[in-house]
Amino acid sequence: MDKSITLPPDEIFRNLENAKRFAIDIGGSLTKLAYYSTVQHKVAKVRSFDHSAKETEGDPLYEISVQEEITARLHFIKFENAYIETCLDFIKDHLVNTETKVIKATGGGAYKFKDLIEKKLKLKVDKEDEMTCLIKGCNFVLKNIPHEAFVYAKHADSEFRFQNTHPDIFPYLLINIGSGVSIVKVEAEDKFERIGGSSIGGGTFWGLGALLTKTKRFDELLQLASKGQHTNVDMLVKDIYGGAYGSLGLTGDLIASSFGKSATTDKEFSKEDMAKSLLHMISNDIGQLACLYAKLHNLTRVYFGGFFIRGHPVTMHTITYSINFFTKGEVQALFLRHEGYLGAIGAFLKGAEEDNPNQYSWGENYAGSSGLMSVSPELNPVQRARSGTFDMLEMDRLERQLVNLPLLQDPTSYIPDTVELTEDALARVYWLYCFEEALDGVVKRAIASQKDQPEAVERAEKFRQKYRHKLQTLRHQPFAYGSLTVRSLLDTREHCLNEFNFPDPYSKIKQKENDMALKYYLKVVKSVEELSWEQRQFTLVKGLLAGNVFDWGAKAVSDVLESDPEFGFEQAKQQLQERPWLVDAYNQWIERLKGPPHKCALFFVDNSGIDIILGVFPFIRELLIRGTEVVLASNSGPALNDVTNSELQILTERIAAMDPVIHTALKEDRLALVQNGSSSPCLDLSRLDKVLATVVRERGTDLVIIEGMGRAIHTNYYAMLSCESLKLAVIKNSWLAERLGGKIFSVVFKYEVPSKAQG
Amino acid sequence: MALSGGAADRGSHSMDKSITLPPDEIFRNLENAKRFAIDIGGSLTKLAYYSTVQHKVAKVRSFDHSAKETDGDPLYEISVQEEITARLHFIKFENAYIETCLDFIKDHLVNTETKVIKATGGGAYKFKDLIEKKLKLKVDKEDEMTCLIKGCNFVLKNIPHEAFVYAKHADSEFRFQNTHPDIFPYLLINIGSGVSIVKVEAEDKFERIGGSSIGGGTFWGLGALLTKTKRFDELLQLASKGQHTNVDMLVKDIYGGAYGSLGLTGDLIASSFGKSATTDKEFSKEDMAKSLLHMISNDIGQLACLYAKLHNLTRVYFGGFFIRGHPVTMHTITYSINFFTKGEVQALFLRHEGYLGAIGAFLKGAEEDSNLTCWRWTVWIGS
Repeated sequence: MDKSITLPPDEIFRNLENAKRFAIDIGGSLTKLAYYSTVQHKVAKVRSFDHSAKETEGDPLYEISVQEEITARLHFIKFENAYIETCLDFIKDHLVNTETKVIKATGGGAYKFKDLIEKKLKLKVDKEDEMTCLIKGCNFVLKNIPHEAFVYAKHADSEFRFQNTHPDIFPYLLINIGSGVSIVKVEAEDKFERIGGSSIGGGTFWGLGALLTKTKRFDELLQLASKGQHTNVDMLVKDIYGGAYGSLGLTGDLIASSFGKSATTDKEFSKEDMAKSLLHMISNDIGQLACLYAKLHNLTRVYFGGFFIRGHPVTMHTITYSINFFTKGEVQALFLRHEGYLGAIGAFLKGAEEDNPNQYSWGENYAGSSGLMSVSPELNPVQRARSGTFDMLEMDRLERQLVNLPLLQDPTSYIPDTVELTEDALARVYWLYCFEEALDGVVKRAIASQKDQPEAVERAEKFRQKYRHKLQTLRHQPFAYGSLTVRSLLDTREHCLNEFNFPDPYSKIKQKENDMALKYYLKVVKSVEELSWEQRQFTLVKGLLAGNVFDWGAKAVSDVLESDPEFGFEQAKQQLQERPWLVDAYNQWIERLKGPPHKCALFFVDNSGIDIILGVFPFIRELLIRGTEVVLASNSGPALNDVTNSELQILTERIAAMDPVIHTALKEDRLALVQNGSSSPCLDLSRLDKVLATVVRERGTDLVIIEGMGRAIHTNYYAMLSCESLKLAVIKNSWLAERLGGKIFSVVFKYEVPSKAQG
Repeated sequence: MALSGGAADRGSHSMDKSITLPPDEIFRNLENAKRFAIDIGGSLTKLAYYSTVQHKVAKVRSFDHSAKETDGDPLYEISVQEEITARLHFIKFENAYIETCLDFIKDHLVNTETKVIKATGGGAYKFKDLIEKKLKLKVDKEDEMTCLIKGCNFVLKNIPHEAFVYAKHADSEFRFQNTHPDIFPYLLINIGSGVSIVKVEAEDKFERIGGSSIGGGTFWGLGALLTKTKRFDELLQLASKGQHTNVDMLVKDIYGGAYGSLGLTGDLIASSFGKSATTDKEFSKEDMAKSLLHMISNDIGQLACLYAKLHNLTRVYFGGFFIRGHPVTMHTITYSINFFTKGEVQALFLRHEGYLGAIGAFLKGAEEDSNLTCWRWTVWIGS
């Protein structure tokens, strides 16, 4: 142990000052530290002025203030055991505000380092059962991290195929391949059983490998294996029978006997070949055992973890191959992105049970997390050199509990994202380029939003570096954070902006636009009222679409808006594509409107300003008049120029003050405002605020309207709902428009009615 | 995942024609041998033939009682006569002797009308030309697995107390089982170079339901690499003297004792060869061989149990060269089966396990001769 190792600790042990609760998982070679900390960060708040006072012309609509908010965050750090003393010292020095007396510990190494930890940290080591921690951690990540599990396919276009979060994660089988193998059946949160195991595991590969090749390092053994030819050492079926053993269904290339050739040959075998043969032997054996246990217990979800698997494409490949072979493709080998942290997460959760961590939803913070396999030398030597031996995961406690939209036709098969960029190289290249291109604009906007703070420039620059680095990482490892989608790129950008205290760069612009749009509200409503029914419906839909042109998230539009702020509502309407639209279900929609009114419409709104005030409100006003209740779902936190729930509350009040229809609807509770639980410009219908789900259920919602590119095109374009739905957007990106077979400003107006059989 | 005959031919280059056999005692009744079958495994050859044996029998005969009885005449007459009966012969020898043996057979094969020799085993195709040249018989290859199962069915049905349970520390090491009137269904775990797991449901109905590449060849191959000991028997000798706890990582090495909540005792092997992963010291050949033996036996034991459970089978027989006559491997396999099934399934071994393939191949040939099929055999197996 070398105390002189210099850590870049500020970047690694983040927020240590407020750390409250510690847990440590010490494995054979790696230590995983978990702590819970509070993060103080800036949030933008809006507040209505007191309107009883006389209004002065030119006063802003509402007040924007930046406040400090404290949120909870989970930090996980992984480092080699060699650094443990140095790390403990560092923690000791920075642990100022903690009242913690105890550190939860798990893992085989926990008892070895107990004294050291107690001496260094002056905390009492409280040992927790390793398997319980592992399972607790596994349940936690499966529930809380979207795309936690993936299938590995070495030769496919996309090596990693991420799985959707199942609403019900149980039952499953966990095959933990550490020194040995444990096979655990997990049936419920607190119900698991070790149903089997094997002594032929990672320790056997390492131990026998070391004896055979004189190579002492596990990673080097894997390296050797990846270069070897097992057929030089193994006896194949064809070595015995001269070909396949057809009547038994054994192909000639099947391994008949691992190391069978070394039994009778006197020649020397290469280290590479022996390592490869050993790897196959062990992986196949574990694969077969896993399959047999899965079959015996009737389980189809089988997750693999442990240091044998951890981030090693070589072992993931051989295990996957083995599972495919033995189950004839019926069972898929699943791996976990944060597999290395399970024990630490579980130990932490054990200690934090009084905080009820399971009552909250948690989200991975992309800004503070190393990606998948950031330490895998085979994949990205550059990054390995950079991030050294430290790997991090941060999870934010979300303020709200997130659940499925009850109206999803099949929650288990719902995939929010329309295009999976890890599988679509062309789209990936484009979008990564697109986000990189847009970065200057975002930085400029961020600085402009905090003109009064001179150090904003510096922070914005840090933001730029961080986000650019993430984009570069994603270029090399598209799978670093699970699925790669336009949504994840947008979300990562929001996380990075928040990280550097740019909580809402668009707040002032939104304020200005909202203010301006409100002035036109009555005029728009009046002009619509004068039209015939048919004309009125068309104008309302056009208004909705025209409003959606005002979107700072789309580069083409932000260019126009920056240079020409007078770009008005009417002009926007003219920009729209003439009917027939790119996707045009308008006639069906009108036919439907001629029928009885909907009971309740849930509207996922998009942008501030013209969009919400002159597009959405006149439209829902018509619905309200028809007798349909309306629920407006808006973002809980800021994202681009999307209207947030707190902004929408103020806007609605102001509109209600002008418009008796809205006023009455609010008073009679036929118009409700709810937050969606998200701070993303996109929409994941499987992670929505619990209150929203309740409202939707209680009101018998029978129409869902999703507006905007982020929510209706990048996500949910193919989402199947159990009630009628309207997805509408203007395509403000020429690349995407072309891909869909249209031009920029093409209109998507998708009206879907579920077939009765499924409803 | 191989069958019994996997291991490569160990001695083809070292055949020694000068070895003197005591052939009269071994190849008995060869003069009248009629029907041949040969099973050539990785290291051993098993030869089967059918012959007629002339031997003396005591006969009693009543006198003719219609004739006048003389006092003092004996009750009946005793005479010794020559009788000819059919006998099956099975001989096992190392592959190294194959050429010598073939020569001997050739020289003594006088009365046979046989034109064909049934052959099976992985080595059958290697020695085909040699056999055809030496014996002037056409080699007729039979499917190895079919022969093995046929042979197994035959011994289970025809030989009382064929199967036994092995108990190292019991008063009697071998506990022979009664012959079940109905031998089906059963599971046969054949541990040759690799492992084949075969479910047998009826005389002609069997299926290879599983297998593993970790078998006898792995013990031999890895053992040879680790200990520089090239002979299988010597490796077993080494293993019987070793201490696996020096090489294996036990549950107590990780947790300081038992892992009670999971029901794992402290002495349980957590990781085979786990200690050699991180220790720099030298390990003894004996210890490594023992650890390897445990690793392989436990693995096969677990697979056997899982397949038995999945297919609802309780009779599990073990065979193949890994088992054949080796108390060491029978013990570790028995231990493993007891551990994994908590005593619900017993590991069964066969007295004549080494002959199954040869018996089966012979029977295949005999089927073509309807006279032989319905015989009930009194088995004489030369050993």
